[in-house]
Amino acid sequence: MLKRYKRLGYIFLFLLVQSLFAQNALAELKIVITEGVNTARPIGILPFRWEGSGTPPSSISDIVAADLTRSGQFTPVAENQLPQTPMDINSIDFKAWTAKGIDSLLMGSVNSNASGQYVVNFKLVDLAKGHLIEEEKADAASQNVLLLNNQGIITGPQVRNFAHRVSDLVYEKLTGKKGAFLTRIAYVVVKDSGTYPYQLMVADYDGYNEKQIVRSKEPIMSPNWSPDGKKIAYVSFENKHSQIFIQDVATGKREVIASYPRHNGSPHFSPDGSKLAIVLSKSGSLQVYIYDLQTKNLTKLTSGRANNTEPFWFPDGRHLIFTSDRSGHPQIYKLDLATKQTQRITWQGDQNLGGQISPNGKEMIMVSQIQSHYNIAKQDLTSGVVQVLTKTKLDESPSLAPNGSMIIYSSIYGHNNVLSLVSIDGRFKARLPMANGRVRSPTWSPFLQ
Amino acid sequence: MKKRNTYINATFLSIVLHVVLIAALVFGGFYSATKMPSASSQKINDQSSVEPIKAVAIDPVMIQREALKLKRKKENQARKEKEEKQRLAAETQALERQKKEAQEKIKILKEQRIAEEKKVQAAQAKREAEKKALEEKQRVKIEKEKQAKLEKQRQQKLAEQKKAAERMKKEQEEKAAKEAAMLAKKKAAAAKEKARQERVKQEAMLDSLFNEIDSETASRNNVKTKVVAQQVARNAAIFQNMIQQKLRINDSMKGKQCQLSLNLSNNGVVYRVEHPTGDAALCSAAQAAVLEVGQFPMPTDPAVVKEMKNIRLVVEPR
Repeated sequence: MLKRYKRLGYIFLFLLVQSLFAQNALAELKIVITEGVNTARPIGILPFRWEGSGTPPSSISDIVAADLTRSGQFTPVAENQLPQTPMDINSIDFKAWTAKGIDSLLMGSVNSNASGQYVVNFKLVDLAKGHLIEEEKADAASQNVLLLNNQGIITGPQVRNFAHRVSDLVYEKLTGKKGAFLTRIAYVVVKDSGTYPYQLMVADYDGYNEKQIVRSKEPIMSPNWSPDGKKIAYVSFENKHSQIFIQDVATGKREVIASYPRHNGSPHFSPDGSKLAIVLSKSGSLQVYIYDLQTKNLTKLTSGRANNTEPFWFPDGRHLIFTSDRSGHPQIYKLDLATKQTQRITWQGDQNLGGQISPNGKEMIMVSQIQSHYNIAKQDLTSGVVQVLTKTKLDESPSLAPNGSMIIYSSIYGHNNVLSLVSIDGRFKARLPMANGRVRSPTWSPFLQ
Repeated sequence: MKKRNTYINATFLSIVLHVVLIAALVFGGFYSATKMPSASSQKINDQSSVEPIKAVAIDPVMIQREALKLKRKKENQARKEKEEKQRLAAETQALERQKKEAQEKIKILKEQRIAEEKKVQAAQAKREAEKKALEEKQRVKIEKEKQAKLEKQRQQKLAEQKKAAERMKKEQEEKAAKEAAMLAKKKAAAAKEKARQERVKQEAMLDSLFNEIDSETASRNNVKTKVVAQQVARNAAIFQNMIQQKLRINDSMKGKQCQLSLNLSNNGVVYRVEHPTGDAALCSAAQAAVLEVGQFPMPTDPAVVKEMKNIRLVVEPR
């Protein structure tokens, strides 16, 4: 009797082991992919359908397509290349899209309501998922394929901002990174005539909705946004010598921060907004100082006979970079605020200046002079590898988008300084539409709420 | 003129001689004649005062005959002379003519020779030209052949290079496949080893219970597994290549990783892409690439197909 149980136990054990073995046989085959094609990701953007009466607002889908293109990471598929223009998700032929490598589709509609507002509905469709659901013969119209399904009610003037918001959402959904399309830029416009040839302007990142915040008969230079995006520090010569101001963008209220003898320049907010790195020449050559906005203390960081200027904070707030000509030509140096140790970090190119550290602290953007050309270049701070991003001749004052995906800079086009944009990978370059006059010193705002 | 002079001289001489001859004949007749003709006597009479001539009578007919004879002789002579002269003249003429003719002939011959020479020269020149042409032709031909040969060699070389490149590529592919195969084999071996261990354990435990081990089946399975592993590795290399061609990456993805499971149908259609883990953007790109491929080529061997249906995709752009 006991023997029989024992025997049954063995049989049971055998079956158990067999089942384990069977699972082993289903082990996956491993394929390792180490290469790819270096191109932007295609995305389908259908023109948002106008369902209201009267004239439709400016095209939201066009603004979104332009935004995503400027990031360098997306290629909206041209309208005549779209495999189909489905009216809703039920009529999407998923495989037709994925066969072209398009794995996401933005579609939407705009209607007008009784109070004259626009009602915008938009959906971001995961075509890859749709393809796979279809493969399983499941209900493709299930809500699973929707990455975004939002509605917004806006007024006419809000259309552009709303479109940038859509871009931000799509960008974040597809890349996992925050979009920087709903941001602003500040820059100085220099006109050849008029009572106030120098104007400090603020506009959407793409150059639209331009507003003047300061005008002057004397030069205005080096605007810099506070980390909360509410204030701008800048240099003005309106009182016949350089002074550093901080101005509230919304109210226009401002105060003088520095008015020392000789030069007062290059203000730059610390990441926490409590300090301002500035450049003074009261002791002779240009030197970098830190001005504490709370205690009003001034700390000198650099010394010597050489000029040290253009301070820029590392995101950690514990290091600064600045441009110095101590080696004979302008090069960029890194300063450890705790140890006061300085270290040269640019070694390629005849000159390197205007350094900007990326939000992740891993890359530096700068103006690099190579054989009489001044171009925007990117240096990997770990490997030291430098990639020149632009091909124009006299690029200056680069400024990074708060998500590090795009760079805005001033370059020469025709005989004018124009506002230009390049994606961080150098893939996409564009000039931004601007008012008359030369555009200098563009600076990108932080993320705005 | 001279001829004429000689002719006059001859005539004059002839007359003189005739006169002398007649005179001699007359006196001869007187001396020899016995009887003197009457007529002559009168004359003698007249000349009676002079020494008498001891003449013989001369018969006039005879004289006439003699004269005629002489005359004929003379005429004969003259004719002979004339003939001679004429002959000479003719001869001279003939000679001259001959000479002339000879000269003419010589001239002609000369001309002919010159012409001949010219002809020969021309012929030679022509020959030479022909020779040259032939040589040139041959040279060109040789050159052409040479070039053709060179071209052929070049082509051959190219073909060889191409072949070599292909061979290299093939070798590389084979190597990759081999490596993949090795990997798969290793894995299979490991799995097998594990299975074997399990089985050994199990067998040891069950030995007393089921006293049978089908070793023959095991070895057969072994060979089969090997073949399958090879085919799986080869197909895996193809899949890898197809995905890499569609995978869109950017610099920010380098150094990042995404793993996902891939389910294929029996005919290679992408059926499921699941459990993506790692960088989201990279995972999306990998999924899009897999779906853009859409259908992977599946082998016919069901054992291989079984191995190819479940894939763990590891994406790590460098």
